Amino acid sequence: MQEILDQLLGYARGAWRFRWYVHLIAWPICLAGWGFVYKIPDQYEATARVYVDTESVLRPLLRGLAVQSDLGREVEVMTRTLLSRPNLEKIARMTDMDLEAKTPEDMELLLARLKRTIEFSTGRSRDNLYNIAYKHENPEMAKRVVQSLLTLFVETSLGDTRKDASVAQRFLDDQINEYESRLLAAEDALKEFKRKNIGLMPQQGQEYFQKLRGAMEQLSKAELELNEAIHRRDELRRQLKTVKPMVMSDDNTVGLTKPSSPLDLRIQSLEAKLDDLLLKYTKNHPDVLAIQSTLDTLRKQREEELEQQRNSANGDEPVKAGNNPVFQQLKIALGEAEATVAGLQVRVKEYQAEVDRLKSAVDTIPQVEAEFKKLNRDYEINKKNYEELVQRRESAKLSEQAGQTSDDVKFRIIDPPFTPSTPVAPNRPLLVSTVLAIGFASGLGFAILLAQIKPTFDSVRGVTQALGYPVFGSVSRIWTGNARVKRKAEVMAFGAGALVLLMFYGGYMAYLIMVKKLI
Amino acid sequence: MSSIERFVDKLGKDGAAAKEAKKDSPKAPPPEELIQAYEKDIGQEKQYFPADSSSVGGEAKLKNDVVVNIALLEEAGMLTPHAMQGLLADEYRAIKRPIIKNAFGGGAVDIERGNLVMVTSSLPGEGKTFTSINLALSMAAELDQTVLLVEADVAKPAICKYCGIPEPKQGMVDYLLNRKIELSDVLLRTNIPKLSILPAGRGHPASAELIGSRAMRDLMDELSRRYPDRVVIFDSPPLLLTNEAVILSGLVGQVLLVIESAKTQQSVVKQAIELLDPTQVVGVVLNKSRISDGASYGYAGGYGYGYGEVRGE
Repeated sequence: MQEILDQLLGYARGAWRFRWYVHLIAWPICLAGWGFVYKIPDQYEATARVYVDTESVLRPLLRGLAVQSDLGREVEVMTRTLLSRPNLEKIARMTDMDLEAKTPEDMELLLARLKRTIEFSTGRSRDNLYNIAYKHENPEMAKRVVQSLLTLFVETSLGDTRKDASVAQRFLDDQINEYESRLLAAEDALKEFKRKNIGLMPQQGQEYFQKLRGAMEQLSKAELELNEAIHRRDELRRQLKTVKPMVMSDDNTVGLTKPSSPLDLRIQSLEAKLDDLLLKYTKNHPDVLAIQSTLDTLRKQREEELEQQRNSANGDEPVKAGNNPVFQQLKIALGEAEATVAGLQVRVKEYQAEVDRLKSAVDTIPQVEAEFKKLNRDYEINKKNYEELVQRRESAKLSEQAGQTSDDVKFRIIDPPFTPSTPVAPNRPLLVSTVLAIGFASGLGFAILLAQIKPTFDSVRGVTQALGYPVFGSVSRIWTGNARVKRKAEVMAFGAGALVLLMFYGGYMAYLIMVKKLI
Repeated sequence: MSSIERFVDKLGKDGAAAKEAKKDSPKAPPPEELIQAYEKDIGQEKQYFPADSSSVGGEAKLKNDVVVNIALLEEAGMLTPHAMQGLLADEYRAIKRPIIKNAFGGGAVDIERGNLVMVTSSLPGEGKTFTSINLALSMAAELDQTVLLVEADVAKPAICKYCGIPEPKQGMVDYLLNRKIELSDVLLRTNIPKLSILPAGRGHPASAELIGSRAMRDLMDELSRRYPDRVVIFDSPPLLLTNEAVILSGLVGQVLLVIESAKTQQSVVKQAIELLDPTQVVGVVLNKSRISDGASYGYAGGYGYGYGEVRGE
């Protein structure tokens, strides 16, 4: 402790050498500072308090559908946007502040200042109480600004709520329209699709597989029959080879009574038929005429055959039209079998073609099915959303009507704009005292600094340390009468200077206290 | 120091040396007669052999003897020969010890011309003359030696003023310039036993050259060797103002650097020291210092002497 004291005393003594610097620095600082403090205009503050009810219509409306706006913060956002440029301009106009701004830069500065100095705060508890505060040199102006702010606040919030509701409505309407159009488009797509893939539709698709199966069954059946027929034919052919075609008869002519050839048989049957018909109808009946012509044809054919037989009988052995009944029957059977085979072959071919066709379409069926499902699904979704939106809109309409009729109280002005008659800033006594303190401190600091920069020798130890030479001794200062007087004069001069400064200070403070009643 | 000078000048103007005689002590020669005689015979040489003046080795009669105005010294707060108690006296006792030791070979190394001591400072007004006079007075009280106080500050000789001696016509400068003048012609014996003064004499523009001259060196040799038991104290000019002090420092054995406490900047002192020869024997005296912790114990009066203070017997 003692060392600290000694050190401080050392500083003080060192500063004494440069004591006039203290005055040199303190005086300008103090005078300039006090002048400045004097010049600072008073600032008056206008305050108001508002209660904002955030239970508004919006929350239930938009829940789950769109991005839910946290209404607790909505007002904060609103207050922040409240100080947006257009709003500030409005305030400037409402309070006639813009009359002062002559150039665009002035306007800019004005608006920036407004933005900086308007204070919005929520108070300690976030219970929807908002304080609006504004400081200005003119108390009236401050009040006006706060009033216009309040007006703006109320308007904007109210308007916003309504706006929000109508915005929500519009949003719903837009969404509904969009979904409607989407729905239509989906229906069209579905229609088109159905049209394009008519045979392959899923319900029909079931039949399709059945069809395929049926066709394949038929095909296999036909193939089976074909195989049977071919076997039969081959068998008949074989048998035919073994059987003699002709039973040797001397009578090469064809007996009229014996129906030896199928042609004869036919002729006979036809004749019988003719007889029957003639019983019923006349000769001119069409059927009768048809049969007769056929008969003629057949008879001609018989003649030709006989001719052929005579020719062939002249030459080789007639193989074809043998009169062996077994042979003939076999031949007939063979003919039939061959006809059957041919017929079956054709059928098989047809069935095969059908099967192939069906098979090729098989690949596309699942694809078609999937696409159909998708289209269906899209359609269903759109439809669902659409219906939901329509429902919501109806409920919104209802609740809006309800809200309008109930006239929600969303705002209350708790404290109207108020400006106390005493200025809130600047704190002049404090500033004045601070200026004094700073002045003295600076002066003192500077003097001490100088003393440190230009040190002297104060002690023997200092000398030995600095110079390295032995100190033979130190001689104490002799305070002669003159020296004492001189010293006293120095101190008094310095003190007088300080006293004068303090008097200035005291004077100003007295003025502040008594005239301005600041304390 | 300027206050002392002013005071002295004022006295000189008033010519009121007589008034200051009241503080004389009985041991000194009758001051009244002396002073009156002195005033009557200003400018005249007068032979005077004080009864108790002596110098070891038997000196020829000096032509010039002067009276140191002791009251004046007291006024200025200096030591007086008959009252060697008090803080100041003890301080100078402490200071002269190492000087004497160095002068007469008691120190670690034998110093050439060790009995020549130069009292100087970095800047004027730090207390060289004050210190040299006090030192001389203190040393004059020593039993085994005599003191010669040389006014080596040719430009501003102050010793005679402080001592109340009118500036004699001839001094060191004359001695150096004029070969015909003997040392005994310019040396002044004083009423203070064992103390002699060599005044500067008239001013000279080339005093630095003078001091650097051969004659000066011879003088130094003579002063040093003539009386081995004599200490010669040179009151020299400040180191930083002129070159003379630096030259002189090369001619003497010891340098005593006076520093004014709490006034002279350290950088200035360091600058001055750089001018000295590094092999020079230098001692430092811190002048005008505050009473430090240990120094004031046991001394009544603390701060020293002031106007009208009574000194202890």
